[in-house]
This record gives sequence, structure tokens and C-alpha cells, in this order.
Amino acid sequence: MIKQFFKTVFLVDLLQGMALTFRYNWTKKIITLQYPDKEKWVPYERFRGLHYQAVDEEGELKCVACELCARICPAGVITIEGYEDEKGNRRPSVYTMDLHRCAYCGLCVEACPEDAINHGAGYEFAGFKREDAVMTLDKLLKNKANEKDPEKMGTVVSARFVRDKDGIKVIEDGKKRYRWW
Amino acid sequence: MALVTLNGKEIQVDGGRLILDVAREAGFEIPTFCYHAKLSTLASCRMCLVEIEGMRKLQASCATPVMDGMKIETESPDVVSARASQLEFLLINHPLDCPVCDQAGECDLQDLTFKYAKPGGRYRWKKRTFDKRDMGSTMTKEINRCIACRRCSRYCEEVSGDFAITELNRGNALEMGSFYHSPIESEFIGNTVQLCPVGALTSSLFRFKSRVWDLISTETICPHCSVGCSITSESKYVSQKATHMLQTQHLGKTPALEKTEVKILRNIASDGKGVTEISLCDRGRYGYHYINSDIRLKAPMVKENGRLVESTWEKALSLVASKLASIKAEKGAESIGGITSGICSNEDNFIFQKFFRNVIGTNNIAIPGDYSLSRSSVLRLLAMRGQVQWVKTADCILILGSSVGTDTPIVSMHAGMASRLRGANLITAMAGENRLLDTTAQKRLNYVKGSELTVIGALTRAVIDGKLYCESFGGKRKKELDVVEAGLKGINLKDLEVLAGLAVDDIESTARSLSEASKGVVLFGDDFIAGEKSEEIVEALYNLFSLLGYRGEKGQAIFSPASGNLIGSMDMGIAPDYLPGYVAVGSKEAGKAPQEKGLDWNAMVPAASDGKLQALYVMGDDPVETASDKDKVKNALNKLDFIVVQDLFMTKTAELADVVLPALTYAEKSGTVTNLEGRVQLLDVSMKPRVDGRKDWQIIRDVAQSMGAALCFNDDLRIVDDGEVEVLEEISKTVPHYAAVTQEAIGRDGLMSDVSGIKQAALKTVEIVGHKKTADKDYPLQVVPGRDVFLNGSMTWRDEGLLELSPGPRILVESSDGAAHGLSDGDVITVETKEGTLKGTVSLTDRIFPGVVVVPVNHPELESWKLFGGKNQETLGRLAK
Ligand code: SF4
Ligand code: SF4
Ligand code: SF4
Ligand code: SF4
Ligand code: FES
Repeated sequence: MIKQFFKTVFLVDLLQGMALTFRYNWTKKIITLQYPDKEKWVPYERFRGLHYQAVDEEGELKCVACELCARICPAGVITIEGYEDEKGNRRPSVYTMDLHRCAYCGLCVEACPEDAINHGAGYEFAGFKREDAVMTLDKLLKNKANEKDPEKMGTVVSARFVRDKDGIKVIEDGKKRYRWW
Repeated sequence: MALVTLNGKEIQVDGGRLILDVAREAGFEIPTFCYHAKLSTLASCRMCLVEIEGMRKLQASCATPVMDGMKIETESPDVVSARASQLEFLLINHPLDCPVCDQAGECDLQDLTFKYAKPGGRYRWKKRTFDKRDMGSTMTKEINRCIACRRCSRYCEEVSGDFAITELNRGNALEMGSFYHSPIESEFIGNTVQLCPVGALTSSLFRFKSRVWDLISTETICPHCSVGCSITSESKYVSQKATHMLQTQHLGKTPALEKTEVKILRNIASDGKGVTEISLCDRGRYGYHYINSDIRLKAPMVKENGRLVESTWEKALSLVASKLASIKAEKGAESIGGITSGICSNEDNFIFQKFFRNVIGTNNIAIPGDYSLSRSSVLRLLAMRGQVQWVKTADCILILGSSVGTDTPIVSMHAGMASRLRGANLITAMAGENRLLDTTAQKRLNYVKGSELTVIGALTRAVIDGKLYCESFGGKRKKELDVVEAGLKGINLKDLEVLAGLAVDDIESTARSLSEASKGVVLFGDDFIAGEKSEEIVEALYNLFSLLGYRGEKGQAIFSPASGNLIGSMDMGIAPDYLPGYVAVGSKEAGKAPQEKGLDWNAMVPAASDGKLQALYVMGDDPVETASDKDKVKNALNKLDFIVVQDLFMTKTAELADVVLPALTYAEKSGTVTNLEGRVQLLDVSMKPRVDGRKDWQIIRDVAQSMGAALCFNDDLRIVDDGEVEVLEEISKTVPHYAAVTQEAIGRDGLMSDVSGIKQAALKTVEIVGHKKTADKDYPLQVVPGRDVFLNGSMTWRDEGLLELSPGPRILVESSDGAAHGLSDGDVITVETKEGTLKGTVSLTDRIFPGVVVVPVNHPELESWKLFGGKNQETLGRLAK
């Protein structure tokens, strides 16, 4: 009882804990990812991140507005409207994903017969407005695909944190790259 | 009766029925492609094979009738593997197109492949391919997907009769298409899109717009003519801007970020409902674009300093109310007139007349049109409400006038079918275009426009002279016969040939066919009774039909007007001289209604010009645009003190108005309409209103409320928003032949109103003087007003789809006349009559008689009424380059 009292008054538990902390701080290698200030993680090939729309070799949309992705999506994320383009192909005039609702389950990607909708590498799309998470077709076309190079995927790469009038960005510089573990 | 064993289950069925039908009825599913209950048997797809004990090979159940003692297996191992093989065969050439195919989701091939096929195919070589082709303005052909079921070509042969689609080439090169790949001109071609079990024939207007599973379907009634086909309107939420949340809508949430709007994306036939079998005409199928149109009136408008500006409902309604009240107080109720249209629902029309009779206190209500009929003639028309079903089974059909073909295409199609498939005797008497001509053997009578009464007189004469009338007229009813004959003194069959261009033989043989028929039917439309003589024509028709016994027992007469709910608005008492249920104004039963007869439209125009009429309330009509004498009507309306228009669009009449109130389309409201048979049918709400409009009857109710009067719901001042049910209740209490009408009783098949309780007056003498054909060396041609099948009023004129379909304002010239004038299709010519001239594009045709030129009068861009001096009469003219 009295022992307990002294332990509490003199913060013994805390000091013990801090001792461990300081020991690690000075004696072991740092394993925290220095994101966003210095480093950034490159996802694996099969990472289910921010979606993107793929294009074919000629740069043309692959999507044929078949709405299978919209149909299978359990969360009702995707909205599509088709039209006939100048070449007579079926294409989406509207392809919108409201990612607030997305569960990143990957069913849309699985359902797509044209390999058009894909999960990409993006995971940095926190925003100040709700619209920021609503992906229109143009945004989806700009989004990045996953890294395919086995040397690079799953690595941590050095990066720079930038804040300018367009907002904040974490730009990879690729100078240093290492495996996280 | 036959006792058959179906998959081990014994059942008693009528012998001679198809195995397929019997099995389906007994709950065994048999897949089919080429079979269609309403088309002839082809038995080419072999999907429906079944095993019959004792027969060496599998048999097509769609072509094999049941016989006593048959043992049938529908799921035996052989059958199952035959199905899978058959599908493998079909998929040899079928592209794996489902993601881009509009049919996916309602495709028989897709469904059956999913259900019955084995995975994978063994065919490793090149597929047969064709080019994609547009076929006319509404169809795109993806013939690679065709499985050669020939439903389309059978439809065109058997039902529409226009051979628009047929089989080109044979074997592997078989391609369904039009002769020489020419663009298709047929008012029924949209049906083949719906019939095609795969996505080989697709609608260009729906193409790629939506997947079928996204559509919200509503069964309702086509508003575009008096046949009242049952349609399914399919709508979808689509974006206004580039982004929207369709799915959020479907999950029942309001879209958070962007605005969406609902649009009707297609109409399809509700097979087997109401009057509809499998066909719609393309006017009904594609005439939905005006609903989605951005040029619709969006908010109430009030005239300020000579210009119409947007306003609020409160302001607009109180202005209408105060203005009508003050005009009524100062100039009397008779100085206010009201016109409605044959498009508005029964509820709209009922409340409209109630407002005029109970609140304003006048009988000045009418429907403008090419004819205006008094109560006695309208009562005669009641006896001419035959059934469309009757046309299908008739053995003698007489069509009077061109407008049956152009205004109510489905009725005319059934007539053609009866003649083609069952050899019914088809006789047409037309002054203008004959839409049935290309397809059907028939006897053709030509009459001169304006001699309609003479035609009827001649037929009646022939019936009397040949003693072709019902037996009773020879005996008991001899007196009545004499009454009819008294008016025919001026008709001598011998002279007619010279006078009206009618061949005596034709008239006599027509009369004989009608009289000898065991099931006869006579069809006539707007153009036959139009003009100044409409009362006499209707009365003479009634006389003729009475003599022939065409009052239900052995024959029927069918009046088929263009306006969707003209019959309903007559039932609702939209007339200056009778109340709902045809109660005469001023009679004992009329109760509190004003005792004085009101003005009809023909009387309102002069009354407006000389100041007797001060205000006009227009519900859904556009007399300035549709009148044959536009300037006269316009000048008359300009003199009025106050005009209210409630309509969908800024019409020519609305431009003159002081207050314009936005109404809703048929897709946005519920209510009832009555078709040409007297079948009361139900409109259903396909979409939420696209504009800040109100239903027509609601607007009237709100005006009445602003005037301090209650209109419906037992006359208390309760505001009910969706009160159709209450209005219908009141209608069924007021109108005796609607007594049984409730929304439940109507259902999706409609409910026949029973007019048998309405008494007809005795036959009357109609004085008929033979029409004298005029002749003029300088004007050798007969100029006849005609109509465009796709355009028939203010909604269709604003419908992108129908404007696309319409061949445009064309002047029809008979081929040999064209050759004589050195004309070819597409030339621009001038038609000259004594009244005026008109320039237009020529279309050569064999659908009219030599010496006739047809000028469309329902194209707003063509000022064709000028040619006719504003009258519906014989007009002579000539062509000039
Ligand atoms: S990942 Fe899943 S939840 Fe997200 S859009 Fe695709 S299907 Fe829908
Ligand atoms: S992304 Fe793929 S599944 Fe979705 S509509 Fe386009 S093609 Fe179809
Ligand atoms: S017709 Fe049917 S099976 Fe063929 S592509 Fe279209 S949906 Fe698929
Ligand atoms: S086009 Fe369609 S309806 Fe016509 S034969 Fe081919 S599959 Fe059958
Ligand atoms: S459905 Fe029987 S053969 Fe086609």
C-alpha cells in the first residue's frame, strides 16, 4: 500500500517507460517511416488504392461504359452514363466514383471486362472538401497505376514535403530507396 | 382432349395445342428463340427440343401439337445436351459483345447461355462478320449478333405488312436488312427492336444511353392517339452536369453534390395489356423526348409591360382569380370562354368543366378542332365505339379517309393484318394518302375531298336500292327506312361517276360486301368528318350503319380520332350543350348547371372579335397554331382582355396570353383517359415532375380556390395534393356510364365504359345533295390536306425523336403525275391553288391516286392551310417548278 503510494508520487512507472524509450532512441535503428517530411512508401503491385482508368496504346479510353463495375459495387460508388463516340464506340460520358463510400474491396476491378478500372497506387487523397474524394473521369485518368517493378514496389523512397498555393504534396525524389524491414 | 405425360406427370389438355404451350402452362420451362406467340411458327432455332417417347429424334416443341398418349420429357439428358450444343452453334458466330450490347440484361441468348450452355466453345476459326449499318433514323443494326430467328422479318411480313426487314442472302451470308439496304420508312419498325431476342436490332435513340437494369419501369398509356396503347415508360436519373450520384439515388438518398434529373429513356410495348398485343407505332414508342425537353415551361409567367416574365404560383393564381372574377362581375359569365384539348385526362377535363359551370357560371367550353359537333351528333358517335379486337377478326373492313392510317396507325395495321392473314375483304375510300397500300390487296375507292357526305349518301343509296339493309327495315322498321331515303332524293348512282368521281360498280359492290359480311367493320377518322358538314356526315353515317346493322350485332363502326383522350373529354362534358354523361344543357337532369347553351369554338372566335368574349381560359390547346385560319384566330385572340394558358410549352397561343401556367406531361401525372373503344385506362406516374408545374386539374382547382370556391371533394375547401382518386370518385358518381370506374377496377387492362344505357334518338333524314366535282383547266390537280404519321400536335412538334423520324414536310405527288411534270424525289416545287401558293419538297409515291397532290397540314413550318383558304373542302391546284 505504502509502496504503491511512493511509486505513484515519484512517477516510477513513467520513468521506467521513458527509460525504455530513451534507450531505443539512442541505441537502435529508427524504423518509423518519415512520412511525409522525408520519405514515402511505394505500394505493392496488388495494393488496392485510389482507382484509375486505364488507356490503351493509342491513348484511348478502355472503358466501354458497360456498367458492370457500377452494378457489382456493393457500396454504390460508381455512376456511369454511356454515349456513342465519333468512331461508333461505346464510351462513358460520365464516370464518377464517390470514394467516400468505397470499401476498396476490388470487386469493380474484378468485374471489368476491359481492364479499364483499376486500383492504383494512390493513398493521398485526404481533402478539405467533399468533392475532393469524388473522382470524375478526368481525375481517374490522371491517377497513378501501381508500381510494377519488383525492385521498387514495397519500398520506402526518399521524398520532399511541399506546401504551396496548390496545396500540399509529397514528392518522391528517388534518391534513396530501401526496404522497410 | 388428350392425355399426355409431361416429365412423368399426367395431364389432360386440349388436343392440337403446342407442346411448348402445354409444358409452360404446366410449369416446365422450355427455352426458345424463334417462337413468338403472336407470329407464325418457324421452328428454326431448335432451342425448344423435347424428347417424345417413340420418336427417334428430338422434336421442336414449338411446332409439335400434343397427341393423346404422348410421353414427353423436357429435361432428359439428350434434351439437355442438345440445348447446350445448340447454344454452342449459335455462339460460333455471335460476338462476345455483351459489355457494349444494349440488349445485355434482357437478352435471351445471354440468359439461356448462362442457364443451359457448357463453358467454352470448340470453334476456333474466324467468325462471320458484317458491317454495322444505320437503318433509317431510329435503328442501328449490329447484325453480327443476329441468331437468324427471323422474328423481325416475320413481324414485317405478318404484322406490319411493310416488308421493311427481310432476309438478304442465304446460309452463312444471311443478313437481315432492308432491300438494297435502303433506309427504312415504316411507322412500326421500332417493334422489331423489341422483338429481337438479341441485340442485333437496336434503337438509335436509346443506344448506349443506359443499361436496362438501371431503368425504372412504369406501365402507363400512350398519349399520342385515341387507340391508347399500353406502354411501359422507362426512366433513369441522369446527370445535369458531368458528375452525379445515380447510385445514391437508387439507394434512396438525395445526391449530395450534384444535381440530377430524371429522364425517360425509352418506351416499350406492354405486351398483352389493354389494347396492346405486341405492337406500338413509332410515334408512341419514340415520342417521349418532349417530356425531357428543356424548352418546357418551367415556372408560371405573367405579362408585365407587354412581356411575359417568370413569376410565382401565388402571384399568377391570384391574378387569374381576380381578373376572372372582375370580368365576370362586369361583363357577365358569358364573356368568359374556356377551351381544352383532347390530350388532357378525364380528371383534368372534368374539373375544367366543373369550374366553368359551377364557379364561372357559363357553358362556354369547347375543344377546338376541324369539326365541332352538337350533342345529338356526339350521341351518334357513341354508337360508333367499336372494339379494336373486332378489327382483328372482321371479314370485311371499310376504311373511310386517310387519317385512320396516319393518326391511329395501330388500328389501320390491324385492318391490314386481317386482310393479309385471314383474307378479310379490305376496302379503302380515301381522298389522300393510303398508308396500307403497299402491303395489302384491297379495293380502292377514290373520292374527292369535300364529297364525304356524297360517299355516304351513295353507299346508303346502294344499300337501299339493292335491299341490302337488315331484314327488319323491310318490315317492322320500314318507316325508318323511308325517313333515311327521304334525304337521298338528290343521289342518283348513275350521276355520281360524273359528279364526284365515284364508280357505281365500286359503290355497289362495297355496299354488298358490307351487307354480306358476317363480321364487318367500318373505320373512319378525323379527316372524314372534318369541315362544315360534320354534323350531317355523322348523322348520315349513323343512318347507314343502322341500315346495315353495324351497331354491334353483325358489324361495328369505329371512330378513331387523333387526339388521345377526345372520347374521354366528350364523356366529361366538354361541350357547350351537354354536361358530363351527355346530359343536355337546360334539361331537367342538368341540375344547378347554367341553363343557357354556351359558345362552341367556331362561335367563340367571332365573339372574341366583336367583344362579346372578354376572357379565354386555354387548357393544353394551341388554337393559334392548329387553326386552319391562323390569322383570323390570332386577331380574335388579340382583342381579348385576358387570356390564361396552361400548357407544357410556350405555344403560339401562350405567347398571346396574360398568364401562362406550366402543366405536367402524361408521364408526370396519374389519372384516367378513355380510348376510342370507350375503354377507360390508367395513367401512371413515370417520373417526378421535371418542372415546377402542376397537373392541369390541380391548376384549375387552385384558381377556383383563389376565387373562394371549392371544386371537388364534396365541396369543402380541403387541399389534397394527389386527389385523382377523389376526382375519379366524383366522376363515377356524376357520369352514369363511368359508374363502375375506380382505379382498381381499371387496372392495367382498362375498363370498358358502358354506354348502352344512353338512348339514341330515332333515325333522322339527312338531306344529301350529290357533290359536284369542280373542274378547271388551269388547275388540273386535286390538292388534299394530309398528315404526317409522326407529328400530330404540339407535343410531337417539340419532340426531337419524332422530328428525327418524320420525313419532314413533303408534298406527295403521284408517280405518274411526277413523271409528267418531270419531277423526282427531293425536287422543290410550288403548289398553287386559287387561295394561295406553297413551296415544298416533293416526294413521289404510289400511295395516292393520279391527279392528287397531298400537302401535310400538321407541319408547323409549312403554312399549308393557306392553300385551302382555311376550309376543309375540294381544292384544285397545279404544280409549278
Ligand atoms: S472497390 Fe469495391 S466498394 Fe470501391 S468502388 Fe470498387 S466495388 Fe465499389
Ligand atoms: S470500367 Fe470496366 S466495368 Fe466499368 S464500365 Fe468501364 S468497361 Fe465496364
Ligand atoms: S445480344 Fe445478348 S448475348 Fe449478344 S452481345 Fe447482346 S447481350 Fe450479349
Ligand atoms: S435481327 Fe434479331 S429478330 Fe431478326 S433474325 Fe436476327 S436475331 Fe432474329
Ligand atoms: S423455339 Fe422452337 S425451334 Fe425455335
